[in-house]
Amino acid sequence: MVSIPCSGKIEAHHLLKTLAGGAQGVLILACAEKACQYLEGSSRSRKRVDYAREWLHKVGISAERLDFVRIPPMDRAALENLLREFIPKIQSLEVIPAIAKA
Amino acid sequence: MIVATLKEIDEIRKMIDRYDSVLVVGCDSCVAECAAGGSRETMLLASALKLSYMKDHQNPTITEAVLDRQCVDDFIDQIANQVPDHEAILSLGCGAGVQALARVYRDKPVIPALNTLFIGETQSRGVWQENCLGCGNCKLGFFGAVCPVARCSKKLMNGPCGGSKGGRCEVHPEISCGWDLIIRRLDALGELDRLTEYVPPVDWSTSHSGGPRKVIREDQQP
Repeated sequence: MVSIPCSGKIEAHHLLKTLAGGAQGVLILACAEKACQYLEGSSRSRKRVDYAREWLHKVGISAERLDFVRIPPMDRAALENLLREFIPKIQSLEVIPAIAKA
Repeated sequence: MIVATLKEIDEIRKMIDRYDSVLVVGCDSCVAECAAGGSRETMLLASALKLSYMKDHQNPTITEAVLDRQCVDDFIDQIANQVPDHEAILSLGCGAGVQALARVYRDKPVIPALNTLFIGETQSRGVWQENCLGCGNCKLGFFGAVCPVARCSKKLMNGPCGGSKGGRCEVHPEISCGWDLIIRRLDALGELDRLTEYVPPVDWSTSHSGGPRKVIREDQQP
Protein backbone atom coordinates (compact mmCIF):
# COMPACT_ATOMS: atom_id res chain seq x y z
CA MET A 1 0.00 0.00 0.00
CA VAL A 2 1.46 3.33 -1.08
CA SER A 3 -0.22 6.36 0.48
CA ILE A 4 -0.18 9.65 -1.38
CA PRO A 5 -1.81 12.97 -0.48
CA CYS A 6 -4.08 12.93 -3.53
CA SER A 7 -4.73 10.48 -6.38
CA GLY A 8 -4.11 13.44 -8.72
CA LYS A 9 -0.42 13.04 -7.91
CA ILE A 10 -0.36 9.73 -9.77
CA GLU A 11 0.92 9.85 -13.33
CA ALA A 12 1.24 7.24 -16.03
CA HIS A 13 4.99 6.85 -15.58
CA HIS A 14 4.53 5.90 -11.90
CA LEU A 15 2.13 3.13 -12.86
CA LEU A 16 4.20 1.73 -15.73
CA LYS A 17 7.37 1.82 -13.66
CA THR A 18 5.61 -0.09 -10.89
CA LEU A 19 4.57 -2.80 -13.35
CA ALA A 20 8.02 -2.86 -15.00
CA GLY A 21 9.48 -3.24 -11.51
CA GLY A 22 7.66 -6.51 -10.93
CA ALA A 23 4.12 -5.67 -9.76
CA GLN A 24 1.48 -7.72 -11.57
CA GLY A 25 -1.26 -5.15 -11.06
CA VAL A 26 -2.01 -1.80 -9.44
CA LEU A 27 -5.30 -0.81 -7.82
CA ILE A 28 -5.65 2.96 -7.64
CA LEU A 29 -8.03 4.17 -4.95
CA ALA A 30 -9.34 7.71 -5.33
CA CYS A 31 -11.88 9.89 -3.61
CA ALA A 32 -15.26 10.59 -5.17
CA GLU A 33 -14.93 13.24 -7.86
CA LYS A 34 -17.09 15.79 -6.05
CA ALA A 35 -15.39 15.08 -2.73
CA CYS A 36 -11.92 16.01 -3.98
CA GLN A 37 -10.28 18.35 -1.47
CA TYR A 38 -8.05 19.66 -4.25
CA LEU A 39 -10.98 20.16 -6.65
CA GLU A 40 -9.49 18.47 -9.73
CA GLY A 41 -7.31 15.70 -8.29
CA SER A 42 -9.72 12.83 -8.63
CA SER A 43 -10.78 13.67 -12.18
CA ARG A 44 -7.15 14.15 -13.21
CA SER A 45 -6.12 10.79 -11.84
CA ARG A 46 -8.85 9.06 -13.83
CA LYS A 47 -7.48 10.54 -17.07
CA ARG A 48 -3.94 9.58 -16.16
CA VAL A 49 -4.85 6.01 -15.35
CA ASP A 50 -6.68 5.82 -18.68
CA TYR A 51 -3.52 7.12 -20.40
CA ALA A 52 -1.41 4.47 -18.65
CA ARG A 53 -3.90 1.82 -19.74
CA GLU A 54 -3.51 3.03 -23.34
CA TRP A 55 0.23 2.44 -23.02
CA LEU A 56 -0.32 -1.06 -21.67
CA HIS A 57 -2.54 -1.75 -24.65
CA LYS A 58 0.24 -0.50 -26.96
CA VAL A 59 2.81 -2.86 -25.45
CA GLY A 60 0.40 -5.78 -25.53
CA ILE A 61 -0.23 -6.14 -21.81
CA SER A 62 -3.75 -6.37 -20.41
CA ALA A 63 -5.03 -2.97 -19.30
CA GLU A 64 -6.96 -4.80 -16.57
CA ARG A 65 -3.75 -4.75 -14.57
CA LEU A 66 -4.54 -1.14 -13.73
CA ASP A 67 -7.82 -0.61 -11.94
CA PHE A 68 -9.20 2.73 -10.82
CA VAL A 69 -11.89 2.88 -8.16
CA ARG A 70 -13.42 5.76 -6.26
CA ILE A 71 -14.31 4.80 -2.70
CA PRO A 72 -15.03 6.81 0.44
CA PRO A 73 -11.93 7.34 2.59
CA MET A 74 -11.60 4.96 5.55
CA ASP A 75 -14.24 2.55 4.20
CA ARG A 76 -12.45 -0.68 5.13
CA ALA A 77 -15.31 -2.95 4.13
CA ALA A 78 -15.45 -1.48 0.62
CA LEU A 79 -11.66 -1.81 0.32
CA GLU A 80 -11.71 -5.46 1.40
CA ASN A 81 -14.40 -6.21 -1.15
CA LEU A 82 -12.40 -4.48 -3.88
CA LEU A 83 -9.28 -6.47 -3.04
CA ARG A 84 -11.27 -9.72 -3.00
CA GLU A 85 -12.21 -8.99 -6.61
CA PHE A 86 -8.97 -7.41 -7.81
CA ILE A 87 -6.43 -9.97 -6.58
CA PRO A 88 -8.05 -13.05 -8.21
CA LYS A 89 -8.55 -11.05 -11.40
CA ILE A 90 -4.82 -10.25 -11.57
CA GLN A 91 -3.89 -13.80 -10.61
CA SER A 92 -5.96 -15.10 -13.50
CA LEU A 93 -3.84 -13.14 -16.00
CA GLU A 94 -0.64 -14.51 -17.49
CA VAL A 95 2.29 -13.48 -15.29
CA ILE A 96 4.46 -10.67 -16.68
CA PRO A 97 7.93 -12.29 -16.84
CA ALA A 98 10.48 -10.67 -14.55
CA ILE A 99 13.29 -8.71 -16.15
CA ALA A 100 16.67 -10.34 -15.59
CA LYS A 101 18.93 -7.31 -15.77
CA ALA A 102 18.56 -3.86 -14.27
CA MET B 1 10.02 26.22 -27.47
CA ILE B 2 10.39 23.20 -29.71
CA VAL B 3 7.24 21.08 -29.71
CA ALA B 4 7.42 17.34 -30.31
CA THR B 5 5.43 14.16 -29.79
CA LEU B 6 6.50 10.66 -28.84
CA LYS B 7 6.76 8.13 -31.61
CA GLU B 8 4.72 4.95 -31.43
CA ILE B 9 6.46 2.25 -29.42
CA ASP B 10 6.37 -0.22 -32.33
CA GLU B 11 8.41 2.18 -34.48
CA ILE B 12 10.91 2.69 -31.66
CA ARG B 13 11.25 -1.04 -31.06
CA LYS B 14 11.96 -1.69 -34.72
CA MET B 15 14.89 0.69 -34.46
CA ILE B 16 16.34 -0.59 -31.16
CA ASP B 17 15.54 -4.32 -31.18
CA ARG B 18 19.02 -5.07 -32.51
CA TYR B 19 20.73 -3.75 -29.36
CA ASP B 20 21.21 -5.57 -26.04
CA SER B 21 21.59 -2.36 -24.07
CA VAL B 22 20.01 1.04 -24.64
CA LEU B 23 20.49 4.31 -22.77
CA VAL B 24 17.20 6.23 -22.86
CA VAL B 25 18.05 9.93 -22.61
CA GLY B 26 15.43 12.61 -21.97
CA CYS B 27 15.71 16.38 -22.22
CA ASP B 28 14.24 18.58 -19.48
CA SER B 29 13.86 21.72 -21.59
CA CYS B 30 11.41 22.32 -24.45
CA VAL B 31 10.26 18.74 -24.85
CA ALA B 32 9.56 18.51 -21.12
CA GLU B 33 7.25 21.52 -21.36
CA CYS B 34 5.32 19.87 -24.17
CA ALA B 35 5.17 16.58 -22.22
CA ALA B 36 7.03 14.61 -24.87
CA GLY B 37 10.59 14.03 -23.67
CA GLY B 38 11.18 15.23 -20.10
CA SER B 39 11.85 13.24 -16.94
CA ARG B 40 8.30 11.91 -16.77
CA GLU B 41 8.18 10.79 -20.37
CA THR B 42 11.65 9.25 -20.12
CA MET B 43 10.50 7.10 -17.21
CA LEU B 44 7.27 6.31 -19.04
CA LEU B 45 8.96 5.23 -22.25
CA ALA B 46 11.73 3.28 -20.50
CA SER B 47 9.13 1.45 -18.41
CA ALA B 48 6.94 0.78 -21.43
CA LEU B 49 9.92 -0.62 -23.33
CA LYS B 50 10.85 -2.85 -20.39
CA LEU B 51 7.29 -4.16 -20.21
CA SER B 52 7.23 -4.68 -23.95
CA TYR B 53 10.44 -6.72 -23.86
CA MET B 54 9.40 -8.58 -20.70
CA LYS B 55 6.22 -9.68 -22.47
CA ASP B 56 8.39 -11.03 -25.29
CA HIS B 57 10.69 -12.80 -22.80
CA GLN B 58 13.62 -10.58 -23.77
CA ASN B 59 15.89 -8.78 -21.35
CA PRO B 60 17.80 -5.91 -22.91
CA THR B 61 19.37 -3.48 -20.47
CA ILE B 62 17.36 -0.26 -20.53
CA THR B 63 18.78 2.61 -18.49
CA GLU B 64 17.29 6.08 -18.01
CA ALA B 65 19.08 9.41 -17.94
CA VAL B 66 17.80 12.97 -18.31
CA LEU B 67 19.80 16.04 -19.33
CA ASP B 68 18.78 19.61 -18.62
CA ARG B 69 19.49 20.40 -22.27
CA GLN B 70 20.35 17.85 -24.91
CA CYS B 71 21.63 20.46 -27.36
CA VAL B 72 24.53 21.84 -25.27
CA ASP B 73 27.83 20.00 -24.82
CA ASP B 74 28.23 21.00 -21.17
CA PHE B 75 25.05 19.08 -20.38
CA ILE B 76 25.64 16.25 -22.86
CA ASP B 77 28.92 15.49 -21.11
CA GLN B 78 26.96 14.51 -17.99
CA ILE B 79 26.16 11.08 -19.45
CA ALA B 80 29.73 10.41 -20.61
CA ASN B 81 30.25 7.73 -17.97
CA GLN B 82 27.00 5.91 -18.83
CA VAL B 83 27.32 5.88 -22.62
CA PRO B 84 30.17 3.32 -22.88
CA ASP B 85 28.06 0.71 -21.06
CA HIS B 86 25.35 0.80 -23.72
CA GLU B 87 25.24 -0.23 -27.37
CA ALA B 88 22.94 2.61 -28.39
CA ILE B 89 21.26 5.80 -27.23
CA LEU B 90 17.52 6.39 -27.54
CA SER B 91 17.00 10.15 -27.44
CA LEU B 92 13.85 11.90 -26.27
CA GLY B 93 15.34 15.20 -27.39
CA CYS B 94 14.25 17.21 -30.40
CA GLY B 95 16.00 16.70 -33.72
CA ALA B 96 18.74 19.09 -32.61
CA GLY B 97 19.28 17.08 -29.42
CA VAL B 98 19.52 13.79 -31.31
CA GLN B 99 22.12 15.21 -33.68
CA ALA B 100 24.09 16.85 -30.88
CA LEU B 101 24.32 13.52 -29.03
CA ALA B 102 25.45 11.83 -32.25
CA ARG B 103 28.14 14.48 -32.77
CA VAL B 104 29.50 14.06 -29.24
CA TYR B 105 29.19 10.27 -28.99
CA ARG B 106 30.46 9.47 -32.47
CA ASP B 107 30.78 5.72 -32.00
CA LYS B 108 27.20 5.22 -30.74
CA PRO B 109 24.03 4.86 -32.79
CA VAL B 110 21.53 7.52 -31.64
CA ILE B 111 17.87 6.76 -32.30
CA PRO B 112 15.09 9.39 -32.06
CA ALA B 113 12.10 8.60 -29.86
CA LEU B 114 10.26 11.80 -30.81
CA ASN B 115 8.83 13.43 -33.89
CA THR B 116 9.94 17.06 -33.74
CA LEU B 117 7.10 19.26 -35.00
CA PHE B 118 7.44 23.03 -34.61
CA ILE B 119 8.34 26.14 -32.64
CA GLY B 120 5.34 27.03 -30.53
CA GLU B 121 3.82 28.00 -27.22
CA THR B 122 1.82 26.28 -24.50
CA GLN B 123 -1.56 27.82 -25.25
CA SER B 124 -3.35 26.09 -22.40
CA ARG B 125 -2.80 22.90 -20.40
CA GLY B 126 -2.28 20.12 -22.90
CA VAL B 127 -2.51 22.40 -25.96
CA TRP B 128 0.55 23.52 -27.92
CA GLN B 129 0.24 25.96 -30.80
CA GLU B 130 2.67 26.53 -33.65
CA ASN B 131 3.44 30.23 -33.98
CA CYS B 132 6.94 30.63 -35.41
CA LEU B 133 8.59 29.19 -38.51
CA GLY B 134 12.04 30.57 -37.70
CA CYS B 135 12.12 32.45 -41.02
CA GLY B 136 15.08 34.55 -39.87
CA ASN B 137 13.49 37.89 -40.74
CA CYS B 138 10.98 38.72 -38.00
CA LYS B 139 8.21 41.13 -38.99
CA LEU B 140 6.01 40.68 -35.92
CA GLY B 141 6.28 44.41 -35.21
CA PHE B 142 4.18 45.13 -38.28
CA PHE B 143 1.49 42.62 -37.44
CA GLY B 144 0.55 43.12 -33.79
CA ALA B 145 2.79 40.24 -32.71
CA VAL B 146 0.79 37.70 -34.71
CA CYS B 147 2.93 36.07 -37.37
CA PRO B 148 1.43 35.84 -40.86
CA VAL B 149 4.19 33.45 -41.89
CA ALA B 150 3.30 30.91 -39.20
CA ARG B 151 -0.35 31.69 -38.45
CA CYS B 152 -1.71 32.33 -41.97
CA SER B 153 -2.00 28.99 -43.78
CA LYS B 154 -1.09 30.75 -47.04
CA LYS B 155 1.70 32.88 -45.53
CA LEU B 156 0.12 36.06 -46.93
CA MET B 157 1.98 39.23 -45.94
CA ASN B 158 -0.36 41.89 -47.25
CA GLY B 159 -3.85 41.13 -46.01
CA PRO B 160 -6.33 38.26 -45.77
CA CYS B 161 -7.12 35.98 -48.68
CA GLY B 162 -10.87 36.52 -48.36
CA GLY B 163 -11.65 32.87 -47.84
CA SER B 164 -12.03 32.81 -44.06
CA LYS B 165 -15.43 32.63 -42.38
CA GLY B 166 -16.19 33.74 -38.84
CA GLY B 167 -12.49 34.09 -38.08
CA ARG B 168 -11.75 30.52 -39.16
CA CYS B 169 -9.34 29.57 -41.94
CA GLU B 170 -10.73 28.04 -45.11
CA VAL B 171 -7.90 25.50 -45.09
CA HIS B 172 -9.37 23.94 -41.91
CA PRO B 173 -12.08 25.22 -39.58
CA GLU B 174 -9.95 24.32 -36.54
CA ILE B 175 -7.37 26.91 -37.60
CA SER B 176 -7.92 30.53 -36.59
CA CYS B 177 -7.50 32.94 -39.51
CA GLY B 178 -4.11 34.56 -38.92
CA TRP B 179 -5.20 37.78 -40.57
CA ASP B 180 -8.37 37.93 -38.51
CA LEU B 181 -6.13 37.74 -35.41
CA ILE B 182 -3.75 40.38 -36.77
CA ILE B 183 -6.47 42.89 -37.61
CA ARG B 184 -8.41 42.40 -34.37
CA ARG B 185 -5.28 42.81 -32.27
CA LEU B 186 -4.04 45.91 -34.08
CA ASP B 187 -7.57 47.37 -33.88
CA ALA B 188 -7.64 46.73 -30.11
CA LEU B 189 -4.22 48.39 -29.77
CA GLY B 190 -5.31 51.35 -31.88
CA GLU B 191 -2.50 50.59 -34.31
CA LEU B 192 -4.33 49.60 -37.49
CA ASP B 193 -2.19 52.21 -39.26
CA ARG B 194 0.66 49.69 -39.08
CA LEU B 195 -1.01 47.87 -41.95
CA THR B 196 -0.63 50.90 -44.21
CA GLU B 197 3.15 50.45 -44.07
CA TYR B 198 4.52 48.58 -47.02
CA VAL B 199 5.90 45.15 -46.14
CA PRO B 200 8.26 43.98 -48.86
CA PRO B 201 8.13 40.41 -50.10
CA VAL B 202 9.64 37.91 -47.68
CA ASP B 203 13.33 37.25 -48.21
CA TRP B 204 13.31 33.49 -47.85
CA SER B 205 17.09 33.29 -48.17
CA THR B 206 17.25 33.84 -44.39
CA SER B 207 14.96 30.85 -43.82
CA HIS B 208 15.84 27.19 -44.16
CA SER B 209 15.40 27.67 -47.91
CA GLY B 210 18.96 29.04 -47.85
CA GLY B 211 20.26 25.75 -46.40
CA PRO B 212 21.25 24.96 -42.78
CA ARG B 213 21.80 28.23 -40.91
CA LYS B 214 24.49 29.07 -38.38
CA VAL B 215 24.99 31.94 -35.96
CA ILE B 216 28.59 32.78 -35.04
CA ARG B 217 29.43 35.29 -32.30
CA GLU B 218 33.06 35.81 -31.49
CA ASP B 219 32.22 37.55 -28.20
CA GLN B 220 30.62 34.29 -27.01
CA GLN B 221 33.51 32.09 -28.03
CA PRO B 222 36.39 31.09 -25.74
